Amino acid sequence: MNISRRAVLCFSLMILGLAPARATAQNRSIFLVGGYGTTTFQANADDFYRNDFSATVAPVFLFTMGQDVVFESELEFGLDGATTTTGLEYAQIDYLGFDRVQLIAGKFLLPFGVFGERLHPSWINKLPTGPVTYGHAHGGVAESGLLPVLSDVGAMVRWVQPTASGFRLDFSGYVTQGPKVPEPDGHDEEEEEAPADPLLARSELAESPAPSVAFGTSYPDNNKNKMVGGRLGLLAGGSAGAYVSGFTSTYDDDGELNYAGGSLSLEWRFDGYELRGEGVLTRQEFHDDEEDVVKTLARSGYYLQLAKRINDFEPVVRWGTLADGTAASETLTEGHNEMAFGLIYWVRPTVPFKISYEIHQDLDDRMFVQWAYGF
Amino acid sequence: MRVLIFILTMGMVGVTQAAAQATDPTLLPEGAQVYGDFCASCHNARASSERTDLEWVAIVLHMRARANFTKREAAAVLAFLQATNLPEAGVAMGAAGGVNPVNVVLPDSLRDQLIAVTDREEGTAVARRPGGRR
Ligand code: HEC
Repeated sequence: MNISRRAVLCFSLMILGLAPARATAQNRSIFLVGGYGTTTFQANADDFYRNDFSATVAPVFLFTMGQDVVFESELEFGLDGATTTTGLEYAQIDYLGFDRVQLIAGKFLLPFGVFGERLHPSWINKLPTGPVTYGHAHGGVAESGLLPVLSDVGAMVRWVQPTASGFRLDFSGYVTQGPKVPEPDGHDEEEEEAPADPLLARSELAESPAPSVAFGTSYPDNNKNKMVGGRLGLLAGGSAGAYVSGFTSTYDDDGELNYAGGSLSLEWRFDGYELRGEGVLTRQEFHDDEEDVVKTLARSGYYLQLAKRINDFEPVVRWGTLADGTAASETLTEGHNEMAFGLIYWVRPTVPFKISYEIHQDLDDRMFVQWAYGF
Repeated sequence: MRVLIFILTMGMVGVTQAAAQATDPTLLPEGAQVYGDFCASCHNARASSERTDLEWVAIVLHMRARANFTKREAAAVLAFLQATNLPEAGVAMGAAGGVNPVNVVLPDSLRDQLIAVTDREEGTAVARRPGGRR
């Protein structure tokens, strides 16, 4: 009797202990690796002078401390000639102790538009390339598109306000190092010698007097000015959303020439269709040495993408356009149109096999086959 | 014998109290709603059986920062992912994950199982299907 009573006591204590144990397990530090890998084949339709296989891997590391703090980082490894390119896409500490406010510091993907922060990983992006507004490379130079996928070092506050009616406001505001003109030698050299992409080569031909500006490479910064920006979104449940974003910064060593951007993004999902669009404007002040005045180069572009899920297949169309870049009604950079048709076969929900055909105005058409893998 | 029953009862009370503290009854249905509404809005839905319960803790924090969820929404969706982390859920939700990004509909068998899980855990049932829009 005595023994069984003790056994029962032990048993009860065990049960008593169980439920809290389950709760505290969540407070343990957890280390987790995620990310994605991509292999791509690209063929140029007209003269096939460059058909390439390429591969990238982007591991994501998560390290949690309790329920409120997480460190997250992503590295990007790619190929460029004989070398392997590496990139620190983000490395940030998130403090998530408040209900509707988040504090983030480190290098993070900038909430400018939606594509860069939320859609660019290859297992999420529905086409093998990025839209014309963001360029096709992951490097830091805003040359092939209007802007690269933006990632920079600084601090960010996020705030969200859900309402009972299912609408929510999603706000982010940040202060970061900001852009600068890449130095001719030194760290930024690689970026300047970005792969001989026909699109890149073409925009270089334009020989704009406004220097090309690099983001996320300003460590250490070249001026005292910091870039300030934010994004405000209004979402209707998970099915529709509209976001406005903007940033302003200076990029020259004296901190006098302004570089600003604005964007409007829309998304709508209905009956298996997904429609996304994003328009981007940039304004870059530069010193025109010939006339000895400061001018402003205005550029803009947008893309629209429609996809429809049909069982394991998903056809996608994307239309993109970059307007001519002008300063005082003079054309400094040439515009460009792009139309992409793609078909995804979803091998798994995170493993798309994509085939696409891209028609580029005045350039070779290109075909891509891409197999991506989200971990 | 009376002592035995007393101890057992105390044990049971302890369990229910602890469970009630850890989760509140509206958490799971709310988590199902968050999952259905948002977890397939950027990428295809991910099956809860893809990862362990602990791994979900880290991933939900990651997604909370990425998608700007409230702490409450994150706790709810975590509870939902952990409660549905069953082998069968993997197949069903994984397949459903791709079909229609917005309306992730669980098959009846799985929903029954989910209701059983939630019943067992806190005496409430998930009355609506995750993602099923009223
Ligand atoms: C705002 C867009 C967005 C929403 C909403 C979203 N995700 Fe994600 N998710 C992402 C992005 C972007 C990545 C890729 C992160 C990376 O590679 O940097 C990702 C990655 C993941 C991964 C891979 C592991 C990891 O942590 O990288 C899992 C699993 C995942 N999401 C699950 C979920 C779940 C569950 C939900 C709902 C609670 C959710 N996601 C909601 C954007 C989103």
